[in-house]
Amino acid sequence: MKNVKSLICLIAMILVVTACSSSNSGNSGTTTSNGNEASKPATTEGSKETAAPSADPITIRTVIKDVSLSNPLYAQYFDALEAALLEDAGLNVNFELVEMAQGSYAENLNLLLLGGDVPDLIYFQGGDASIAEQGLLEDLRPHIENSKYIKNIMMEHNEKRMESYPYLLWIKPYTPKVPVVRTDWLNDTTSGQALLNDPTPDNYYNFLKELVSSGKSKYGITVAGDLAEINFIFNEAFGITSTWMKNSEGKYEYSLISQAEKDKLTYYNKLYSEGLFDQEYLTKQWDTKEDAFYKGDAALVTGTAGKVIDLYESRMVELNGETATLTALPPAKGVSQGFGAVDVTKESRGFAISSISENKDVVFQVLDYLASPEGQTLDRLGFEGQHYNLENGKAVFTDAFYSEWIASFWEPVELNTTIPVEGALLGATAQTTLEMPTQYFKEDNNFIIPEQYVATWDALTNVYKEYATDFITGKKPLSDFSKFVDAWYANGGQDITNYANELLNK
Amino acid sequence: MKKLDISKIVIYLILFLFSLAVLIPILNLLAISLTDASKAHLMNGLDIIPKQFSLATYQVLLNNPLITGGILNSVWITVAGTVLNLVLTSLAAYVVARNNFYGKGAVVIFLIIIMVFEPGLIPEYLLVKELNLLNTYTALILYKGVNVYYLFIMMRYFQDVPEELLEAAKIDGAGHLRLYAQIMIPLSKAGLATLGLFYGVFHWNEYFRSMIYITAQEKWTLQVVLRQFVIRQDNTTIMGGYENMFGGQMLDFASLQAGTIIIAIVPLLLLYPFILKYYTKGTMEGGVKD
Amino acid sequence: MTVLRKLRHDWILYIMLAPPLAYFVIFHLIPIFGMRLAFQDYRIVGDNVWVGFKHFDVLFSSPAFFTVIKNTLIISTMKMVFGFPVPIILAILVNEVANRFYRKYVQSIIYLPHFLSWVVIAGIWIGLLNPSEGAINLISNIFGASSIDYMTSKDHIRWVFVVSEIWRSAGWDSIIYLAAIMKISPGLYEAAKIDGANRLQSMLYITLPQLYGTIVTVFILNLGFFMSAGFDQVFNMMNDSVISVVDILDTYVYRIGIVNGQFAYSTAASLFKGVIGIFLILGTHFTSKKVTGNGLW
Repeated sequence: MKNVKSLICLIAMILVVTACSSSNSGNSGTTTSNGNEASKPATTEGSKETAAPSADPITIRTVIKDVSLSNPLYAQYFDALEAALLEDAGLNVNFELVEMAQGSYAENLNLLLLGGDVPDLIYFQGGDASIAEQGLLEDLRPHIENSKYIKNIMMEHNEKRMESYPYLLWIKPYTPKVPVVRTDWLNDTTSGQALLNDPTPDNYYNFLKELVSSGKSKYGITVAGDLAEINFIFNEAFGITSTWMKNSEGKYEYSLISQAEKDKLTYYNKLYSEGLFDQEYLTKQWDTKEDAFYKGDAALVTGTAGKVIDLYESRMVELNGETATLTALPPAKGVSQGFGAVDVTKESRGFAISSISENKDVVFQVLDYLASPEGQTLDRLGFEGQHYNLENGKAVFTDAFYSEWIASFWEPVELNTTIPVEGALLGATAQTTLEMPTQYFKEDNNFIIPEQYVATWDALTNVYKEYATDFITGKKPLSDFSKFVDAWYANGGQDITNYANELLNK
Repeated sequence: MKKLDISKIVIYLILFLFSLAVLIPILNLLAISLTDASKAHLMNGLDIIPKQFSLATYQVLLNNPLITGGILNSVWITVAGTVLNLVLTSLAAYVVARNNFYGKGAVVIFLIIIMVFEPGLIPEYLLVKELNLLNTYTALILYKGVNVYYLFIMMRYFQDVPEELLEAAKIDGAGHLRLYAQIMIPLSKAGLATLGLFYGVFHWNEYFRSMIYITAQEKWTLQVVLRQFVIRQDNTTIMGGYENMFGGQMLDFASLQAGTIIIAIVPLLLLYPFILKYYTKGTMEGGVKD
Repeated sequence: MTVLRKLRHDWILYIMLAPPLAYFVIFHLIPIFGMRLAFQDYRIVGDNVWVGFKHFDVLFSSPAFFTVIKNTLIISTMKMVFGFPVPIILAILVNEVANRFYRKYVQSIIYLPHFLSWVVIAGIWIGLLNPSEGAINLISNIFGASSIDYMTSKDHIRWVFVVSEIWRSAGWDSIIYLAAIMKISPGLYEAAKIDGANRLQSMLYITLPQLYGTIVTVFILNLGFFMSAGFDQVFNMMNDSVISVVDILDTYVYRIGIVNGQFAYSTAASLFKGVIGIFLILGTHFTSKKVTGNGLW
């Protein structure tokens, strides 16, 4: 009895204290309490002209993923950047890099910020929405308006995203995942050429079939665990042109319950049952998927456009010989063609400026500088003598460039540097993968799921995943698709559809 | 004695099969770590012989200057942490295991509450920050200074010490401190060794907390250093992708991963035989007169 | 004795208890007060906003919540029923090995997988269970059974979790029991042999009963974590085709949290788990004490 009494007392005590305390013991509050500075446009201080060099360097505290001054390359880079800023733009700054343990950047960054320490310049790779909500991120639109260089290099998708979510800047080309296959294998087949000329799903089917039956690969295509990658290739061909599509009644319905989706899943099921779609795709991770590609089990995989394709190619050649370069394939053509509609709600990652920073204008000027020809030269070409050599006034890249140099900031597709460049920044195939998507660009109409629907959306996603995998693997017949649609609506889909229609019809 | 033979064989066989089931995947990892990059992706899950022997993975891993520092840091934290753990845990276990003092019930409930409620990352992080323990070894040594689960286990071991021994000592005039130091501790060697092992392993393997609290590179523990090699960097945002770290050598990811695991396990493997020393039968022998 | 007399009599106990207790208060109790974050929205600048049960609403409102709780309970129960006895049996068997070298060999091997992270173990088991090349299917083919894709089979996946968990932890968990077995006086075994007991009997009637105290302790402690069911394992071994049967509370909270900033939701879930854990522990402890005389303390 004594035990039970002590138990009740203790629990009551804890609950009471917990419920009653309203003060926040966690704030090391040196920060101001205006929450909504972000909605005020920053005052224009004539940021077009370069400020006269100040006596003391302005410290810019920065945190960037996997960047630390203990890496000599970065130490060198930031020193060079500081010097260049002073010389070319008259900005006297000193970069102070916040050291972060590597590993889960998003988590560490969250802790840093939530602990009250907000650096001036922050690179985000997830987790920015809640920080922006608290008004801690600077609205970048007025800065961009007044910028010298940045506004000229913003690409279409960057501009759209900036409009609806003006906190993250990330000027990089649009990089969907692009299908690649070994060039020698492609040339060895008869269906390969047909595919390049007319990439219909049927031609894809024939191509994969020929690859498998000729014994080149075990199965045709593989992906890492779910349908995201293969959808880049086939979504548009089957008519999935945006997340929400108008159905026959003129109302928006979710693309995943549409007839188009059903057709596509029927196709995937066909590939799967004939062994042209890896029957173990569900348990593949990115590393086993790549392994399968290099080993030759999979003939076709998708990779993020750009540098990643370069890496795939060099590894493939290293393991399988000079003839094993890669060829990028066009997305399937059918009802439509392309790599899918582009999410323009917000950048998924990028640089943000703290709205409570004292030096936010200077920080933006730094970012602007990096968009200028001088800045681009440093950021994208590297150091002379180490990453490139000057021959006849042109920069010729060294091996070190290809293996260790990556631009930290902006990479508009067009290269505009003070030194003309001999050759390309990327291998030919990788370069194609960057250029290809631009011809298919179209905006998506997806929206950020509001908080009250988050749990429902999660449940709906799982309903889809379960049915889709069962359809593809053949555990459920595609005639059951209507059952899936019913289940989708029953689990909250109706609410979300109503919300979507309201939103999209505005 | 035929009966004895069969049961013995059965037992030996079961244990052998189980140990094999456990051993083969580990040997497989070892083999993969010793396989040359060009052939590494050809190794499947049951190969225990490298397809092409190569020490490249270990050369790269062990030559990295962060590794030795990491090992030293880990050793320091493990040793200091474990000693602290054992002292605190055994003190608490002694007090609660065999005595009925005023407030015992409350203390026990308190312990249970602490065990099952995980406050989560933020409150913990904020506390460490408030105490100015960020980026210090102290934070890691003190983290989970007493694991309540292990505390209850130790209490159990203490409770198994025969009452007669304690009575005899009490009659001889021993107070609690003497009972603790001269009876409980010596007679629970196996238990202490076991918990020492558990705590030690816990500290040695602690990766997440080290990652969050330690930012200075020279203070990184071994686990954090090792993870650098196997985290797939997003190649479009960092400078000097993982190729650079290895002096331009292309290494196989699976081989690297396997190598880091082996390196992390080896010290523990060396430790275990020492612990086994305490697993001698009959620690009660000679204590109680039948 | 009056309270004051008791305190004076046992003063040294309180002194001994002080350091660990101080540790607990600072490093555990204070953060536990921080769990009121479960009822708030965190603000970096300014005070947190009190939102009451909002986070709990979001968590519990999804139709998925019941599936998730169901899965958690089922998986935890399976692990308890099938996984709990294995370390005990292992410990008892190892104890029977007379040969010192063989015993050391076995002891040193069986605890190794415990050190592997689930990222690695998932890879190992996916390979083992591969329908075309994996060892398990190859062996069952020899016996005439057809290959099964275990990892994507809703009927089998929970068993995969249970077995891989046993594979990983049984050896390690058996250490606790082995240490307890060390305490058993060899005299008991000798006496039994003289009385004509065979090996099985001495295992069942001497070793096992001596372990009751430890078994009950470990059992009750594990119940406290019943709602956890192993996030790392599920997260790494889950795939799209089996979500509906293996999604557990923690993976669900993790996903919801990613979208909206984890901490408030995971704190709310931790609070929920903790409350359940307390009831389970206390309930079993008092019941067990009544029934068997053994409890947690």
